[in-house]
Amino acid sequence: MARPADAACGVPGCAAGTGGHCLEGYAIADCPHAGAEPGPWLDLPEGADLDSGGAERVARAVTTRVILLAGAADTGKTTLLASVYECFQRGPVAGYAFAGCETVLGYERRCYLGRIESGRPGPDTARSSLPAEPRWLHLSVRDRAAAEPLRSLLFSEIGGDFVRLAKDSTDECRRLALARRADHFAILVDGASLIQRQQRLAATNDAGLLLRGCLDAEVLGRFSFVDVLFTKWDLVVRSHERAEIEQFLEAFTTRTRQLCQPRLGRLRFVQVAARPVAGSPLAFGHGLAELLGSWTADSPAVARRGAVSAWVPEGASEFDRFLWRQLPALRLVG
Amino acid sequence: MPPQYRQLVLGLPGTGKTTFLAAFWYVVVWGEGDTALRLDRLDGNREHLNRISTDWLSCRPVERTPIGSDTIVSMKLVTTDTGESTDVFFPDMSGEQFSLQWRERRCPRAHFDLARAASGVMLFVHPDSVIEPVRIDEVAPIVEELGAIRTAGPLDEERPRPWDPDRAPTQVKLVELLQFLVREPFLIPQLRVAVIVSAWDLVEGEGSPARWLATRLPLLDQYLASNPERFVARVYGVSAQGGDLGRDGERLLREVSPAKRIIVVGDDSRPHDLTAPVRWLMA
Repeated sequence: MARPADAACGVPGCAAGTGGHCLEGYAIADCPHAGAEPGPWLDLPEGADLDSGGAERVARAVTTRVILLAGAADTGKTTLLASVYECFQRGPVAGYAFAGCETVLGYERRCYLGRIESGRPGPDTARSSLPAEPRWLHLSVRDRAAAEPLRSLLFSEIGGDFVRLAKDSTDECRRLALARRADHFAILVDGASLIQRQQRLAATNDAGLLLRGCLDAEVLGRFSFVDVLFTKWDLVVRSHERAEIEQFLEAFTTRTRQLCQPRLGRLRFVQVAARPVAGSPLAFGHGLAELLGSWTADSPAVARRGAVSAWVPEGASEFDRFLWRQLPALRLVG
Repeated sequence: MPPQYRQLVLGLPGTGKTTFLAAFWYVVVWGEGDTALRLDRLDGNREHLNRISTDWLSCRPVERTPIGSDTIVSMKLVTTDTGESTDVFFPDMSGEQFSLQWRERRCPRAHFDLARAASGVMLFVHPDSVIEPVRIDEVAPIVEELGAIRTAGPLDEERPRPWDPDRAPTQVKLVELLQFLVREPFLIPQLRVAVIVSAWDLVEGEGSPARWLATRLPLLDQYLASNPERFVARVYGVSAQGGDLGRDGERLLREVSPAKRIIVVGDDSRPHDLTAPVRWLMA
């Protein structure tokens, strides 16, 4: 339908109707927005969690680090993300300054119960109901001198239900294909479980099984950076059994390193206290600055630069398959 | 035809936008003091400007702009350093308009058109209306010490106040208002931003305006500093009234030269020159 030359265009910013150029490059007569009256209101970005399409748009725009947080229910995934955002409310973190956020409302909802505005006597975190499709929180950061380009961080939580299924089933693990693309895969171990002798073994065992399962299902591999996070570390610090817990974790980390580290690009064990309890000697966001700094700076995609690697194409010759078997270091995964 | 500069005026309710405009009008009309801009000639309808300017002169609180009564005022100004004539346009917009953008995630088309044509942004902040992101764990020791929890009775942990976007931290809202300008549908490639810390007389003991911003609104400060390709920013401390109208009203009314009530602190600005931020935005 041809648009009268003097008709206003309904597309925000288009000057075609006022004699200027069509924003989308159409000739006046061919414009599909012909006759569209400009509405009195324009929609603005929602500011809520991003869906996969939104995350993809962010990742296409600037260098982006994808960070997945996996852990059983109440291990502190949401609190960790909320605390990272809260840290930026006070200033730069680990040499990085806040440079933008497409999910401001998503963070604000999560932080609300930890702020005095909520009227609560003690802090809490709004529980995130995790949908089947991953949802993403976004942060944009930059070195304080603004000398380097912006970096985007995309965070997604892998819920307790999925973690439970994944540690029990390789097929379920394979559904975690997102982990292949992740720059950082964090497995959270609940500090509240570590201080309970009865739950300690199960908590660390579940984390280990999830890691082993993801390795065997080849969603994690030689080019994966994995962090095992001992959350709520403030509870361990004030526990009377701290020495015993640390000794126990020493054995767990040694065992896990021996079994898993050779199959991974990097494996770290980090103590964090995203929001320590009142009276704790640990500061708010204990351990988060180091994590955020490395999550921003490091990526297996950068680390593997220079390695010549390729997937074995379907119908590859036996020679190619032999090469694949003999040169595991060159594989992307496994 | 002289060059035209459209300034976008952003700010949440009660941050001094209209008071600034009222004092600005007086200053450029009478050319009192050493200013970067002065009026070239009177032109068009000046009823709104004269009305708010009279309030300002009389040390009455300048009437806030209600939503739906947004006005765009134009002034024919001349730069005192180069003698160049310019037309400067200011929208006198209700702060509620910006609260709506934050809360409802939509904006009037008129604002979109204004923003797309803007050469600069004046972003207003009032020190007394800043909502800070205070965490419960930060105040818990103080509250405990004062015994406030005990005297106030048990708080209802099961039913916290529901989340209200209006109670979000000021710095978060202001960052989002700026982010709107550089994202769809606005997609403005670059803007000068003059952050106006109004009622500067209340906080002038807290260092420079830039320092105040970095201390009180660190998220906004980081955001502006991290995006130099998008925003070229300066921070001004401005007290258009020059003091508290209740406490200092008599003193202010006795000032023979009303422009001398005005306090302006910022780079390249003279002490009472309210036109300095606007002049910088035009550069």
